Amino acid sequence: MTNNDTGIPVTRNERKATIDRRTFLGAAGAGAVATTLAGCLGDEDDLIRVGHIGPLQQDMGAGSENSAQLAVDQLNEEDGIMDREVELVSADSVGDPGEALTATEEMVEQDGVDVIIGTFVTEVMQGITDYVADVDVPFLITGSADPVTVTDTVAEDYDRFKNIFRSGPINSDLQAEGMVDYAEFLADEYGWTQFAHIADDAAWTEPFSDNLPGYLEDVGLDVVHEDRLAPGTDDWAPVNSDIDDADADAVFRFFAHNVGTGMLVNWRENEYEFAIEGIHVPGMSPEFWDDSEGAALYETTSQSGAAGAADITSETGPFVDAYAEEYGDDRPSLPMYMGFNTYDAVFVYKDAVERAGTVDYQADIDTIVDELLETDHEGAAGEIEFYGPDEDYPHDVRETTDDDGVITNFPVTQWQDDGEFECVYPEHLASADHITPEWL
Amino acid sequence: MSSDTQTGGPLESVADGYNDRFGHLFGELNGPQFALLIGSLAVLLVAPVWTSLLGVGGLLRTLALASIWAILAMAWDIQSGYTGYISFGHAVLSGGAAYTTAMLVAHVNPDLPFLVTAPISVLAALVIGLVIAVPSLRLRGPYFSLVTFVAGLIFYQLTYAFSGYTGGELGQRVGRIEFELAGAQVTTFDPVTRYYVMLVPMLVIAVALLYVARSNVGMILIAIRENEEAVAAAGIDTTKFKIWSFVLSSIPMGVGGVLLAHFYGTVNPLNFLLVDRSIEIIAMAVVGGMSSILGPIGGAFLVIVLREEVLGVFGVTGRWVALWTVVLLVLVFARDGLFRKLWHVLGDWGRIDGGDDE
Repeated sequence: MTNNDTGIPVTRNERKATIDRRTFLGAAGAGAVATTLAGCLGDEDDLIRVGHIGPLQQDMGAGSENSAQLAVDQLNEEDGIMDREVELVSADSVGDPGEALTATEEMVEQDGVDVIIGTFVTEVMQGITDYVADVDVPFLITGSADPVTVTDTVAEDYDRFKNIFRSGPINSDLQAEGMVDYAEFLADEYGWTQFAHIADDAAWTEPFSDNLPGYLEDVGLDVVHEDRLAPGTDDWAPVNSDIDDADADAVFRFFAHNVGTGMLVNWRENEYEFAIEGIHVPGMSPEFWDDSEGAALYETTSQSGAAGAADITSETGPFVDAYAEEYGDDRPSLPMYMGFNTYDAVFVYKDAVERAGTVDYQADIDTIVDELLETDHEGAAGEIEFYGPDEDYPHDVRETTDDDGVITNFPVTQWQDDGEFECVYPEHLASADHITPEWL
Repeated sequence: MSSDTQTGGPLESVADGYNDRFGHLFGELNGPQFALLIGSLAVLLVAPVWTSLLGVGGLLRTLALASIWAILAMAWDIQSGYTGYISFGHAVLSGGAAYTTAMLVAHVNPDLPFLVTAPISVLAALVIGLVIAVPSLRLRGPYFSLVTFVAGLIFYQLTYAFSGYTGGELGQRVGRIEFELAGAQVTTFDPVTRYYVMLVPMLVIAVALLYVARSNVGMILIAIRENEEAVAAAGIDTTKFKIWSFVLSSIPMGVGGVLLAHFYGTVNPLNFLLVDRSIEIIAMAVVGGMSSILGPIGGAFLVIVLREEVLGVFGVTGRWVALWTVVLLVLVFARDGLFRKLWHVLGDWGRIDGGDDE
């Protein structure tokens, strides 16, 4: 007979009602009743449940969910996880922290998931952090890149937050460093030395706003214009003309809340003489070319996985092909960056728990954490290793670098002719050369 | 009008016992009404037992959330419902309290105990309430509503404007409630404890607001709604009483805000200050029945249970469409609120049954 107080999951029909070891039922009667029920109905089924959470209404979340499903299907075709069948439980965060917390509690307490993978919006991640830390369920972040994800949690109180990891993308402090490498590449290529920097007025861009201008100056490049834009900006004429007035050769723009289509259209109409680089989350969608009616041409964005345009590892191609076969007719027709990271996270988890020999996080979270820290996984988005507990970004995915110290697991893609995503940087991964408009 | 004249069954005699002792404080009830109240109370008090028996443990979370929103809906009701000065910005008060807790935890001391942050936060809600009420309650008609609405917009944008302090859209984590009560450690990590930590303040506030609403103060507030000139002509300073109603409202709003902050564990603009939150409070009060205190409780439980448990069949976003459609239907077909309707049906029933309640 299973017993609540020891935290062993109790099963009722197909849904598992898991009650944490630190949970005790306040009313003794209720406790007795629940225990009895558990005893009658309980026979732990053999499934391993992978919980996924993301904004499923958006391409990013939908691509991530598809990728998680693909990974689970692939595992089940082989031996599952620890020879047990794997089931995906996916929940929609709606990008709302309150909704996400409800969904997460349901996944843990009713569905009895063994791991949670996902979260794209940083505030959603922030919203479920405390809960996830309290229940000890392994949590692999695959979307949000804000460094506070680990610096405010794992780094602050290791014992409490040790079950939180980020398997991708590299955090935005590291992304800012990667962006400097890319700026130097552009400087070498075109002789551009003057850069503008504009960003969503949102917390996720702060690592860029705080660091990137300084980093650029450090390597001898000039930052000639800086601005922050309220989410929902719709008049792009002054934005572009300010960049032009500042004589920038290129603008690094960081948009997730703002959709840069209007900027691109206005830029093209005026044939402004600067290139548009940086990070543009809406532009990462494989549907953005059609959505923007081709205005996407020439814009670049960094994104882990490089939209499948480059063979980052030997895993990249097979994953993208399998995704296209299964979901190529759906939206999104490519996994998007969160999909790459989510797909990898499922395997990272599998390897770790198989090494640990347990998925019982309530009893063995320390063992699972230790094994996650041992991760050395060749994933679709790159090599995955984690920072150790005592480093600056504990439990965060490490950046990979080439011989020159250039960050390689944050590639840059560009929309090129006929709506093709091409990887243009880093050079050893590039599927095409970086191109500029004819008016530049 | 009291017990002596009644000839009902055992239910009536119990209700009469209540009427004799408390009727003058909280309003008199007939048998069925009394049964509804006691029945609901019993169902709520033993919810951990029946939710676990029925295997719907998740419902406990929904009921805890509904308790918090019931506090907010009642608090809105004592001000807007009773005086007729409709506030569209009440989330500022709960959000203000929540953000006070968040700022204390983030910038003063992360280890400040709940028993310190909570009273300060409620006080902050009171101050914010006065800041809004004192200048705006001299306004009449739509201007008061507009001022409260705009106040809501300002507070929402402030969280972005001062994102260095507030965390912008990410908000600020505040964690769970932990305090010692009679030597025992109380933490809302446990779902059952969490439920009671949210339910008990709701019940206490309900009793307190019912008492006020049935008192002379409540009568004056209603009189202001019905005919402010007449009240003023009687020599009563209506502005003073309207400000009182805001004070009466701000305190429970603050309590609700603090509880909600710890329920979510994170305070952010989306879940606390977005204008939708103010409208939801109003919707709950209106669905239940404005200016009744008990109605908004029923409204809050109905709306939250519908939203979290029932309307999910329409999909994650579709359920909002369904929910607002329900609210619209209530507004069109049962303008006085579902629970007021139920209350009156029970009142009539009691009369037919033999009890003459008035």
